[in-house]
Amino acid sequence: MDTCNHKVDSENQNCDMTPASPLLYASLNVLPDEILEFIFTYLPPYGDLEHCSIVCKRWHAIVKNLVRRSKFNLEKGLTDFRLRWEVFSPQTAAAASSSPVAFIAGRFAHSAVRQRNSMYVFGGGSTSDTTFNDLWRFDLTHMRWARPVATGTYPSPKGSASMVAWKDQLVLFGGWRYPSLHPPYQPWCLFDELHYYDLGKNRWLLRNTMPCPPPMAGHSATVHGDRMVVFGGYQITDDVNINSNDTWVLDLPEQRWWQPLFVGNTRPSARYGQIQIELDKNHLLVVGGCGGANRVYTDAWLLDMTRDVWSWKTLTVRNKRFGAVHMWCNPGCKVNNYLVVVGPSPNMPQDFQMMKQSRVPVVGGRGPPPPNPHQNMPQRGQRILMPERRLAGGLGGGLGQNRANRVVAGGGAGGALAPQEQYLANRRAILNQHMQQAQQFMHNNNVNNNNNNYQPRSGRLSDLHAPPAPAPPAAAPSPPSPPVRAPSLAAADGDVDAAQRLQRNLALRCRDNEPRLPKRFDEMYEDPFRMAAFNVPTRSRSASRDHNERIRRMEEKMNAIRNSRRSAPAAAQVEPQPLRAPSPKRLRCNVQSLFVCDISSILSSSEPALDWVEYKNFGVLRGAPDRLILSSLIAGNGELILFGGVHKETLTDITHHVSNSIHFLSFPRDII
Amino acid sequence: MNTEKTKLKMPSIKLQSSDEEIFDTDIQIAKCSGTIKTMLEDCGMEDDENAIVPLPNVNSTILRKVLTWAHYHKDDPQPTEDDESKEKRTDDIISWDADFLKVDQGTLFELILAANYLDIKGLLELTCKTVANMIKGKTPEEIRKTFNIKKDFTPAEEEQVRKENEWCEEK
Repeated sequence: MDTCNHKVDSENQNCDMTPASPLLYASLNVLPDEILEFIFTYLPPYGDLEHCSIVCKRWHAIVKNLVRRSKFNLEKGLTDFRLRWEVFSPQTAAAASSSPVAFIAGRFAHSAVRQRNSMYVFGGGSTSDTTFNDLWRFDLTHMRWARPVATGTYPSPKGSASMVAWKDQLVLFGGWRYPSLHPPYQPWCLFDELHYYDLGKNRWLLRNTMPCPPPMAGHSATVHGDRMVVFGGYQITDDVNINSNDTWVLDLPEQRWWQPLFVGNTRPSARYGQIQIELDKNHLLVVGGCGGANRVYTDAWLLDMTRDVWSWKTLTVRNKRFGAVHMWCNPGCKVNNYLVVVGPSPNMPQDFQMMKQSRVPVVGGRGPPPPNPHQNMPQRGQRILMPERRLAGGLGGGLGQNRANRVVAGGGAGGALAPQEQYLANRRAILNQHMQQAQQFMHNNNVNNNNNNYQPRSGRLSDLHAPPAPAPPAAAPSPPSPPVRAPSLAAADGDVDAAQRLQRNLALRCRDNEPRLPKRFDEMYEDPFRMAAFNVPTRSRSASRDHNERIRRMEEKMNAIRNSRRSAPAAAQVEPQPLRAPSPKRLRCNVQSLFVCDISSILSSSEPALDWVEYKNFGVLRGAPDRLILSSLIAGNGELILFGGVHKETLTDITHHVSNSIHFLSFPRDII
Repeated sequence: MNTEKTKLKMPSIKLQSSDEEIFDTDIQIAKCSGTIKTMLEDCGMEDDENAIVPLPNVNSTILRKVLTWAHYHKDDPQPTEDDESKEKRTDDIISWDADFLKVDQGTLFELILAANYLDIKGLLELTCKTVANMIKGKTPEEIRKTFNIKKDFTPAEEEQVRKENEWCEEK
């Protein structure tokens, strides 16, 4: 029966087709609409498509149809998770062009905004703990990067600033200079700088306005008509770091800041890193953010700016188990009726992790690691036990210490090192010194448990680029530690690894000594426990006896390991290690998941709520990019555009693995 | 009528173009066309050596080109849906294809129509991509000139269209 029907169908089809006549006048318009539409899908949906829509009436209608269809497809794809990631990397760009192309340096915590058919990217953190103040434009029509030659007063190098587009200008506000490990060049600080960038004239304009908001970073900003609304952020008041839940409004034409009055006291708790999206001229939505110790928010707030007196309203969040969890170091944006967030999936089982050893999309300071026979070996038990705590310190701290010690011991011999080597050695020496200070602290274990009274560490600023430093203060309780054998032999390195892990823990905890130094995102992200001492002075973790006790035990363990090492015969010889031995973990790239939230009912319903959409495959879509944090996500035409970011695990390394790839999320092209 | 007499050992079929030329074709190559494949399978013509498949929408010049293309690409792997990240590019046309499509616009458009009618996905993509590349980077006026299209907007209408942004959400 079936066959019969088919036969009839296909015969009918044949009969219906009228024989094609030779094309006397070759015109693209001989093609049927659907084929023209299909051709247009091969055009970047920006400038070229705009040009097509004004060629003639027929094309205009076809483009209109295509736009409608691709918007629909994107939304549908977001709800049934049938989208695909595509990458645009330096390799892609080089393959598409015969001449060398300009390409933006990898970065994270940058500011990105779309204006017309371009994505603008400002600043952010680099591979080496510095921050940028450059502005780049990615031309979405031609798929290429360019760095406009800008005049005027440049902004300071900074990350976590807000940048919005308003008319033909970009508005850049706040940010911080990344908490750097080499402060001689870039001491850490927060900014209250307000810059306008005139896109027509390629000119930065610094706006000094009084009054103005305090210096802040990690705040969020959206444009509503002629107003920019800024919420929250990380700030410092009276020498104490705080998170804010203040709202500031910038009158964009007048360049005047003001603060609105609110109905009642209902408002979101203080936070930074949150996602803020514009719903309409008088409404915005704030989702997530981080408020400090163990306070990573997944709540949602609606700001109503309709009346003279504004009001915050908390929103119900449904289906939270399908929601994004780290909405403070992962980006989100709005696509029509949906909020889209990328990030890690909390429910993804360990064995789901994808192996992508062949890919090298990430631009690190050192490029792809050299081939190493150990790379493909199964992970050793420890790594599996501590999947999220890859020991940057294992290399940066442990090995670094060895190197530093050697340098110190060698005295003047260090002068022979290349400047960069010297720098790195010094950096390690400083890290080492901090660690010993911490040990000293713990050995003295004074009654005063308040770490704010603890002396700030000294000498670090000037040491970095100095010639080899004298040995760190001899007050260290234990004799200069013997070189720990490098973990080059995979079989015997279990305890060395453990020692390095302990060392790293200590080194990181030293940061608590500087009350004004914010915890870096990675530190908070990795160890919620650790950040307790930082953001919320009243809940200082070090005030806990348990904690000190724990550190002391750790210290003892470490010494025990060291002693056992000392007696080992092989310990005397330390093989010089490559600066960054390729880490197998780094190659095992987890990928970004996608989280989608229906926000259509917020403004229309009397019971406004957000509905997380049930994901498929843990939100992992085809071609998903590596899991990075502090990247940017903006909405393009029928696609989402993810740029930059840093491998969380490398943030504590000497060089970070940061990305300069763009990842496009779109609906797979349909065949007609 | 110009019938090719050669009998091949390989199973072959005869395709008849609109101008009644017969093309004796390797059945595997012919089957890259979804239309022909369906026809053969549904009509049980696969085993019939003398069956003639009429293709009234394709003339002999175009059919010959199509078969040349299909012959060159007969061993192409099927596109797979893998998890590997795809590069975002639209200009990735291999040089053989680029040379193959160095034809006048009339032929190119007829190839598109033929590929569409015969349901040859690869050829349709290739030809449409080629046209898209011809559109890229041109102003509307240049596009009209290139493709012999008449502008039918009044100045007022054009102004209106230029102002529209289809991508913007309706509020």
